[in-house]
This record gives sequence, structure tokens and C-alpha cells, in this order.
Amino acid sequence: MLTLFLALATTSAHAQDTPFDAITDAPARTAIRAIIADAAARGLPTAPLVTKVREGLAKRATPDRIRSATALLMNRLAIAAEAIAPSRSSDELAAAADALQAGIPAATLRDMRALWPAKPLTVPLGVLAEMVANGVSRAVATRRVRDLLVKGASLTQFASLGTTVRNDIAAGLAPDAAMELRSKGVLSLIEAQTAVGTTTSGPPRPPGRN
Amino acid sequence: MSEPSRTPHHEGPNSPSRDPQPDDERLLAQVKAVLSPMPVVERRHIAQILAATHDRRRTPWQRLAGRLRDALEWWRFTAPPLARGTSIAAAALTVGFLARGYVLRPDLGTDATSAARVAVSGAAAATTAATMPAAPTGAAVQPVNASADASARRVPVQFLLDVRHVPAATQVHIVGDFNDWNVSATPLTREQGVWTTTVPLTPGRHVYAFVVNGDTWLADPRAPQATDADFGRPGSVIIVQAP
Repeated sequence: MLTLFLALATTSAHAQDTPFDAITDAPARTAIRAIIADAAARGLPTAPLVTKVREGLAKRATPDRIRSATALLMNRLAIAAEAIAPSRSSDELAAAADALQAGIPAATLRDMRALWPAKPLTVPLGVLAEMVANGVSRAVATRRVRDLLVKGASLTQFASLGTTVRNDIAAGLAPDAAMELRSKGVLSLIEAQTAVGTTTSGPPRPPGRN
Repeated sequence: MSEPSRTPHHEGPNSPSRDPQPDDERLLAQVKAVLSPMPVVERRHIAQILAATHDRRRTPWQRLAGRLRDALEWWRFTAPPLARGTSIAAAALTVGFLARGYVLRPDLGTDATSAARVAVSGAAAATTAATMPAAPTGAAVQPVNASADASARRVPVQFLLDVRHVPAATQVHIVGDFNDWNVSATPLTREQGVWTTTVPLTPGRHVYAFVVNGDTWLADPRAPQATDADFGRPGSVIIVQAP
């Protein structure tokens, strides 16, 4: 058992060490290692940080810029982890960190977690960040995504909303108007589905009455 | 053992019969009485013999169960209660640790009952057709398999790049967070005027770009652009829905 654990730990450490060797600047490399070790000590997922380092290397960024980007991402992950606790999903935390980078406040993330305590927020957070990045105002995007969470929209509906709003914006519609219209469409669809479900599942009416 | 002598000096003067035949029989009876009783055999040896003969009649599984029962019996009598409890807890932890990867990670398994769905890609989205209209014009629609665990399963997404956007390209790769930004990991193949590849992605938002001829970064012309505040390279965004 102990041997197996050590083997797994060694493999994991080796896998994460690989990108650092490509950083030629020793102080930057040490600083990045310290950032990731700090994240691990705080219980944050290190995979998004290692991915950020790889991204910087692939984009041939300077070591100092990679260090800065990694440090900023770790701060966002820490805020996100507190906001959407108790989730420790790497994907969900990365999506929350992206939303923070897009300017979504941590209070909104906490609110979304309260609305969806058991479901993963990865897709709704991704759509929210994407809408803001496409020009939808934060207030409108947040309010509309919140409405959809309250009404229990599916992840499919969230993803489709993101696609259609982007297409509308690309076609020339104002970002806020596109978000309002398309989210209203999804809401009306949910309400219609709910009404159908209520009608079909309700008690049978006695014959001869309306 | 030497045979008893039949000489006359064995016959005493007070012998009831002078007939030699009955004397022989008596002697034989005496010898038989001496030789007939079995030697003393210890009980444990008898038990071993009985167990061995009994063992031979059992199936291998019955024999294994018997061995386990014996070991358990021995363990019960030799180990103190605290050691027994600790051993049980350690065994449970071991089994739990080994099983955890298979029980708690359903993505490792295969789902034979997965339903067909439709992923729309190329315009940086994977959607089902029923919920919302207006799929992007010209987007490639490809049936793919999805499985029951919505949040963790990967969804195959097809990426397309029209050769007219990169007429001088001899090789094109896709790079993104889903392949650890490895520039050479995911090549596209050229088919019917389009560079294309299919990549399994987890649900959520992903950032990616095309790398042409190993050094030119290109955002997907059919997808929304990603703002790269960290490194300033062109990129695109895809939101993958859960299956």
C-alpha cells in the first residue's frame, strides 16, 4: 500500500515537474514552484496552475509573465474555492476563476452556489463569463443566468443560450438585448414544460366539469 | 522377530496335554497376542490422517474455505481483541482504497447504454438540436456518443478550419487547455478542403487556437474570440455542454 502510494505520488510529481524544466530563468522557476506548492498546501487544485504554465510556455511568454499569470490565477482559485465551497472540482474552480477574471464578483458566485448546491456550476459559470466577454453587461448577464438557475434550466439550455447569444451578437444585435431575448426564450420554454408537467401529473378532474 | 522354538523344554512337566498340536496353537496364540495390538499412535497423528483423507474428498474451494477457517480460528485465539480490530480496519481501508478509483470514478468505465446526441462544433459550441434553434451556419453536425455521468464525461467535439483561411499551411495543430497547450499533440488532417480533428472535451468553457506550420497562432474564424489577458495571443472559446 505504502509503495503504491509513493509510486503514485512520484509519478504525479514528475508529471507536474515537466513544464518547469523549460523555464530557463531560475528565480522565476523557483517562484512558480513556490506558488504551486502554496496552492497545494491550501488545498487548491494545482492542475489549472500547471496548465497555465504550459500555456505560457506554448505562447512563448517571458518567465516573469508566466510567473505573474500563475500567481494571479492562484489568487482567483483561492477566492473561487471560498465562494463555491465545498466544491473541490478542478473544472468548476477553474470556471469560477475565469468568471472572476471576467469581472464577476465573488458574491455572485456564492449566490449561484446557494442556488445550485448540488449541481456543478461549470457550464453556467462558463456561459456567464463568456457572455460578459462578448459584451453583455455584467448586471444583465448575472441577472439572466441567475433567473435560469432559479428556474432549473438544464446544462444543455445554458450551453445553447451561450451559442445563440453569440450568434445574435455576431449578426449585429446589441449584446444586452440578445441576452435578454434569448434568456426569456429559455425561461418561457421551461415554464411551458413545467405547465405541461403539472397538467399531466395533476389529479384527474371529475367528469362533467370544466 | 525370531520364530518361537518348538523344542520340548517349553512343555512343562505339569502340562495338561502331551499333544504337540495344541501346544503349537497355544504358542501361536501367545505370539499373536503379543504382535496383534497396534503400536500407540498419538491423537494428533490420527487427526492429521483423517484430515488428509477427508481433504482428498473435498473440492478445491472447500479446501480453501477450510484453510481460511483454520487460519481464522488460529487468528482468533492468538490475536488480542485490539489487534483484531486494527487488522480489520486496515483490511477495510486497503479494500476501500483500491476500490475507490473504480467506484468513485465512473468515467473509467464504459457505458453500454449511452444515448446518441448531437454535437455542433466549428462555431465553438456543442449543443443538442431540440432546445434552441439557430445552429451556426455551416457548422458540422456529427452524432457522437454520450454517457450518463453528465459532469465528468468527455464529449467528442469536431473542429474545422477552412483551407482558404490558411492556404500556405502544410500542417495544422489545435492547442488548448484540453491538451495542456501542447503544440504538437493534436494535429488536424486535411479532408475535402478542410482541416479537421475531433477532440473529446469535458463540459464547460475551453480556450483554444490553431497553430499553423508550427509557429503561427490563429484563432478559429468560426468561433468567438477569447480575450487573453495573460499572454496576449489570439484564441477562441468553446462551451461544451454536458451530455
